[in-house]
Amino acid sequence: MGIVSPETVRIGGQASDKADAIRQAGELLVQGGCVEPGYVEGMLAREATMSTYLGNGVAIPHGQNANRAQIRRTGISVLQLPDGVEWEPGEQAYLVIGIAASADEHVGVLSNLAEIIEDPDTTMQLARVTDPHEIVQRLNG
Amino acid sequence: MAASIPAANVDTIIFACEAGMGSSIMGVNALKKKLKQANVNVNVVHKSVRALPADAKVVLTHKGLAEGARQKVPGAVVVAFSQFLNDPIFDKVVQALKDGQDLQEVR
Repeated sequence: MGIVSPETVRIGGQASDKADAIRQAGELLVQGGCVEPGYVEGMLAREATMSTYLGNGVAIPHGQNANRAQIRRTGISVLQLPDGVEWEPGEQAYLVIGIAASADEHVGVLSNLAEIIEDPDTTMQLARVTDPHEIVQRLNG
Repeated sequence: MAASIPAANVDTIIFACEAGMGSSIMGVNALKKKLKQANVNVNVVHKSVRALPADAKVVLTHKGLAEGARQKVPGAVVVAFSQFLNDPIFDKVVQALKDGQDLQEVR
């Protein structure tokens, strides 16, 4: 099984604000057995120090070094927000990628993500697909 | 503290972030691509600031982490930036390496 699985992908999500989106992306990691619940607070704390918005509608919230003990296994969650949520002033995030990494197994997924976000059309297409497997396949490569 | 390094002495650039699990990896991807386009043969790796190796020569890191990086590896040229993707400083680094100029520290 790849790093990204349908269980940690939420299609057609909605978020009231950025913190809500981060909590949801974190909860998916909790439900997937990747992290302890406390990791989600670490994701919010990390975001407060520096935005994880990458551009082109994608953000990659993740924990801090202090949260490493709360990671059970490397995992990546995807919260798809077809309507987006404001991440930066004037910048909407449509794909929120939650990351919990104990080592470097997920580097390939992030490389795929880097390619995806270079093309705004591809990003927006993934922000609207209705089958989670499409996102899973695209990210796992 | 190293203020600059000749381009010819740069074999590896280390992208550093706090946890080393997200942002720096995205930065590595972006920089590798720019270096390839410029035909510059330099290795790029990612680390957390606290895992920087003592023999690091060039470290790219976010402004908020630059001071910690300088303390950790005083012998390295630390280049600080504001954005993990598409910061204008990356093009300057690539250009300096391509032209064989000295790479300058950025605070």
